[in-house]
Amino acid sequence: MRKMNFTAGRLQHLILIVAFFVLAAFVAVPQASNAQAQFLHKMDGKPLAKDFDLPDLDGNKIKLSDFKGKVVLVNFWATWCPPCRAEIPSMQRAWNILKDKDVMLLAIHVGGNEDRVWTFLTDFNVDFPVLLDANSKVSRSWPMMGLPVSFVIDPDGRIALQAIGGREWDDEKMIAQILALKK
Amino acid sequence: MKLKIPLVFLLSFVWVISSANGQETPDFRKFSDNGLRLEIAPLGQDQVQAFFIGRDFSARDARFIAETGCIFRSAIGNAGKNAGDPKVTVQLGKWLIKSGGKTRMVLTREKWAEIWAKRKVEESPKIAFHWALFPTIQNYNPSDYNWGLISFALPAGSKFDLQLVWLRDGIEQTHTLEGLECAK
Repeated sequence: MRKMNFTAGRLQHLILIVAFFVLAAFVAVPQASNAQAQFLHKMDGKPLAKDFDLPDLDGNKIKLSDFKGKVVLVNFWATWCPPCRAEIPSMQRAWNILKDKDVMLLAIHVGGNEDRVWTFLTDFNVDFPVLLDANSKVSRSWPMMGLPVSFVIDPDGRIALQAIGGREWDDEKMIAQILALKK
Repeated sequence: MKLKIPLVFLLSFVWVISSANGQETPDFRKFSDNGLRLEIAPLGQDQVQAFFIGRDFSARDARFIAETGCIFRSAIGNAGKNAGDPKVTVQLGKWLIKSGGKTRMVLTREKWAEIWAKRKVEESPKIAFHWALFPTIQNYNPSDYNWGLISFALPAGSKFDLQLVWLRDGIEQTHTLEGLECAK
């Protein structure tokens, strides 16, 4: 992990980030989502998942096709999107379960600013791979219109399940839906 | 190095901290019927400017959004709670804004993209703006929803009625929210 260097520039950045998160929390609305049922939906037609080649926060290039033969949960999110932030803790808990069952999780941040993403994630002790779609090209090429959205890719590389909006990812039924895709 | 934090951002920060406890402001509206669930509330101009300055917009462009956008925060989705409940399609392009005897349309992502092209806005804020705005059209399965900002493009303080339009199992549904007001 990189160390934060608290120069004046960093301090300014930190203040902006903190202020931003407070603002984002205020902007948040989806209270009703918490009371909603938890499930993933079958994706119509099970289209092939478009491959991507994106950097993680350490600059390593990660391809979706590197995980062919595995079930992969792909989540698109952004630091400034309230329901995206809300689902991060449950996603980490789900990752703690799924990584031991040979299921991959890739969280793709839509938009740039690596430092902002890294600072945000340190607050949540996230250790699943986070990739950066700085120019939004991957996000715009996938079947998605808003954030957050998640897709579960089956071992054949097809989008089998999707969730539009946030979820509690460690829900037993949803974990079972994901694991049922394993061959 | 000299700190150059925009004044409006700091003022908004302080103000928001002091007011962030209650999400349900007097202008907060909640609606759920015929498959649609919706929560909507106006955002103050300071909040809008702070939000977009935080997303790399210039102070000038953030002020432009705040002064002309009539921005509301929203969460909209499918009210169904069971897997077999009908699908819902939300089409912002069909919503009608009725104000002062005139009827107008929602200023969608696509319309804003034309504005940003004319104002020569950089790529990073344009990307953030696109994803921050509520999708123009989206299908929702039960329990699905999106979060996003909606721009009604009226002057600050304008009052208006909003006719919502959505499809439930392919059949068009409408409902009018009366007496909404853009923040001052």
